Amino acid sequence: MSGLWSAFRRMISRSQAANDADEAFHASRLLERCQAFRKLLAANNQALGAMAAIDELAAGTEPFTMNQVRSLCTEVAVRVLQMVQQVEALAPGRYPGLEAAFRAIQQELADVLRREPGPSSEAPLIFDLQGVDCAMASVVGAKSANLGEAGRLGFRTPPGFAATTAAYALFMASDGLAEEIDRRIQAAGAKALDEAHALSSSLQQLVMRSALPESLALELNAACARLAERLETGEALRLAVRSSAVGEDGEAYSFAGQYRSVLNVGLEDVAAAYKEVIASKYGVTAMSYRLARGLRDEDAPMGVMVIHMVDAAAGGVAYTADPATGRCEHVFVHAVFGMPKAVVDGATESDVYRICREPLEIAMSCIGSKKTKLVLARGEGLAYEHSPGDVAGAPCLKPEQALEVARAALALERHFGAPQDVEWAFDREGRLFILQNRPLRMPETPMDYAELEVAQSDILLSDGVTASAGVGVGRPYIVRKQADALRLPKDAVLVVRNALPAWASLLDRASAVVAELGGAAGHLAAVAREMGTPALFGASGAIAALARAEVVTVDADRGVVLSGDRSQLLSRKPRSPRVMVGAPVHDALLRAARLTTPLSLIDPDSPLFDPGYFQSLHDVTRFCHEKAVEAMFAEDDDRRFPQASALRLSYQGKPLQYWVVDLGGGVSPAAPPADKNRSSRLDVEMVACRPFRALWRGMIELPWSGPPALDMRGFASVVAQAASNPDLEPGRSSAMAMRNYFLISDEFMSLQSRFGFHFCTVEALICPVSEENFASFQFKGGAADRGRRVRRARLLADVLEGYCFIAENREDSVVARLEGASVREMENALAMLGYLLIHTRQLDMVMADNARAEAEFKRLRRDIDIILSRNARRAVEETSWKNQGTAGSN
Amino acid sequence: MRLLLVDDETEFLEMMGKRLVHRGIDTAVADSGRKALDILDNREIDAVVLDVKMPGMDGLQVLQEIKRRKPGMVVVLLTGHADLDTAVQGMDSGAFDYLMKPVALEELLAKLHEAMDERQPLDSSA
Repeated sequence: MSGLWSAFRRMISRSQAANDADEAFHASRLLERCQAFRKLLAANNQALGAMAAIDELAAGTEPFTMNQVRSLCTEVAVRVLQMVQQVEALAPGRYPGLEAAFRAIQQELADVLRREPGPSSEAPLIFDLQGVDCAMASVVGAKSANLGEAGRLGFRTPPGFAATTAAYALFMASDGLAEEIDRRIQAAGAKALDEAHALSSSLQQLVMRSALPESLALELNAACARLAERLETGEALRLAVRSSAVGEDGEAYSFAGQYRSVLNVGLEDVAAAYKEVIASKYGVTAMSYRLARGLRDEDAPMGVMVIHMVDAAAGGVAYTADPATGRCEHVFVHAVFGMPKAVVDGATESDVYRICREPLEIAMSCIGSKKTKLVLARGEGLAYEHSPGDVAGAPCLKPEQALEVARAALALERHFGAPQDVEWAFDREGRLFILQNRPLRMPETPMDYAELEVAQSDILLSDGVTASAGVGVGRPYIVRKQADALRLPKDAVLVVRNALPAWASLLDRASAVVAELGGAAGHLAAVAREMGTPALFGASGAIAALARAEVVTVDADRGVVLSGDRSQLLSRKPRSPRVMVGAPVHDALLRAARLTTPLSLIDPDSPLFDPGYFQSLHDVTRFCHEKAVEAMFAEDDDRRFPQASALRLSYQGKPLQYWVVDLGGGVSPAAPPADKNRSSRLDVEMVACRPFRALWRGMIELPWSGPPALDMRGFASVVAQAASNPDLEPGRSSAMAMRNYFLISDEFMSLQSRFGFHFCTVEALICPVSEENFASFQFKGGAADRGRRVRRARLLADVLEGYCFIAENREDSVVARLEGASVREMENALAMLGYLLIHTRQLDMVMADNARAEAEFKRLRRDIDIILSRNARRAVEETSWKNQGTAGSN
Repeated sequence: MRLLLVDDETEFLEMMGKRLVHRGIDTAVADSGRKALDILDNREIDAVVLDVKMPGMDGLQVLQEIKRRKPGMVVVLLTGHADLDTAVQGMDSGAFDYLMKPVALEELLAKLHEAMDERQPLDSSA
């Protein structure tokens, strides 16, 4: 509809020239409403799309971040707010409770999404490790807490201190560092995390460039000075600065090796090393890990452990169980010369001891060729040093030292109550130090996987999208209208043409639902997901394929329908592990999803269909959509067409009973300039309006066979009606005198017409953005008696429903609409409407009984199929013609 | 269309500014709210794309000030920091829309054209 406003302005100026303010007013009202309605549809689609994404994340099988949750919920809230605003524009003041009801839910949602306050920066910034135990893990991080605990148990640990999460919070709060990090992560796009090197490096540089808050810098210096004094090293003190994140090394999350440790640091570099460790929180692996495990940024505050650097003669790790199998008979000690880090890096072979627990003795030892070793470098860090051959092949531990390590590891296991992974070192005086201890990660038992083997002939349908995951078994039952719905057997597979919200009430009775049209973003899909009913949508040909089937199995996950009961086979199918379930991000998402995606307002006729009963933003969208449709397509005075600037349409030289008003772009520039005379003509071929052209094609595609042959009673009924209809009195100025008007622009069309005794409007927008397209059709009245009129209206509704329209039929009126279809689908829909406009004229007269109605239904369907197939052929020809054109021009 | 792009991130200003100019859009840039208001006082601008999170005067304050001085001005909020409260406050303060980074240039342009289309009749009465 771009350009409609400028069209409107031209219209106004033309009308003002014609001194017809009334006309201008009505045209402007119509345009405003179209604009509001179009915005509402676009917002509705965006909101539902974001809700579908939220539901998808809620399944917990794919990793996601808190930023994604916030973005999606914000998207939903903004779009729903736009819908509320547009409903107000369409029907000012009609729904006073709407906005307040929206605000209440939005406020609750905002509370759920609010960032949890980080660790309080009131707590001490630094703790001496001597004062730390494992109860303090949330303050100092896991590594400091475990090592502090080991020290208290009497193990020799390097002296040092822990910088707390309060120190981290203080740093992150200074100069809005945390918010800037958040902003950059979101701006980079959460999906791009796997190629996030650029982002990671920008975040790490940002942290490195930020100055430490003064109080923190002072306390770090003071703690280092106390340590130097205690160890009597003075300026020569060397330190290890290591990450100690909350949750790191925990039982649930290991973060193994993702954060940085800076070893052999001099006093003057402690502040920089501190920042380097904090920055490693934004390393690519660490970020991906948090993403994969559903940890929010605030779930992993960073403590930092600063300890005296042990100058190791030998070191390594010890496991109190076999990390590959999880078996607990032996303790494994891996040892190298120099710093233990060489074992973890895998840079050299190591000596491996397998040690029996009870009695504690070496069951097996395997001495590796340790050609290099890690030693303290002269400046900062560690350096590899070559070991001569005879040294390399010598064991780096005496047997009793290996047993000493095993004994310590087992004592830690006993204390912590789980198999341990211990990093240790012997210093040059032969004293054993525990450098780090954490729970040992045990292997998970792999799941059995059975691949499905199904014969091709058993696959009834394989074309559909998963609207709600799962597998359902049952007898297919096809529901075409509400009356069918009442007879839906329990646990049947519900099969429908359109995934209409109206079918939501059937989902608890159905074992699965299959729809030929509709996608994962619709209302029905959302309800199916919420109720856990497997749903397969967009399964074209489903009705034909399942009409005669006995029991079928709907495997919504794979998008197939199989004949027979395959639940046995399918139950062995491994489901994607729900990795996110239980993760903090997932919990937050579920709380937000409860306020966002469930749909409880289903039936617009129910008294509960009211803002007072909103439970989620989905309810708000459903309500707004329903009320917008009502306001948009309600009949009222605003719909009168401007009379002044109308041109009369002609076709093949003959004038028609149609007039057009061009709002701009609706008439080909090649048309001869219209004179100011009202009777000026416009050839149909000169109309450039897209929906008009599609409609017109349907109107003329098949010849009208003229008024249907009447039975006597039908004719009598018309005469009786006419006699009592005041509109038929000659000379009376009435709605009957109104002509058939098209209001057109390049992409928009609004037709108001009376064909004979019935009143009909068609409005449509066709533009390249499918989400904004819509067509609406309203039909009411007729000349025959009520029974016949009602039968015709029902017939029309049935035909329209068969072709993607959502149709409602009450008495002798039909209201049908189609939204969000592609250009091609819209053109087909309008061609069909054009056909129906012409070919259902006076059809009411012959609708004596249901048998006749059935016959007419078949005739209309057959004709429409002809029109659609011709449209398709034309499209193919156009494409090949265009392709030839391109080939020629190359 | 004459556009004013406001963002404290100069890299973004430069990159987005260039791309908009390539699309034939007369684009002015400002790296703070103050500068943005200065430009609005001294130059003809049709629409503003405004970052929300900025040091000093933040986007919402700038939005409110723009709306106080020029009620009809089209302002699209563009943020790297999705926040529901700010989004709703922004829409309430008269923002035309609230978009989240990263934003596709096409999407931003479509939004702006839509806004321009709607704004003009209001202006003609002003």
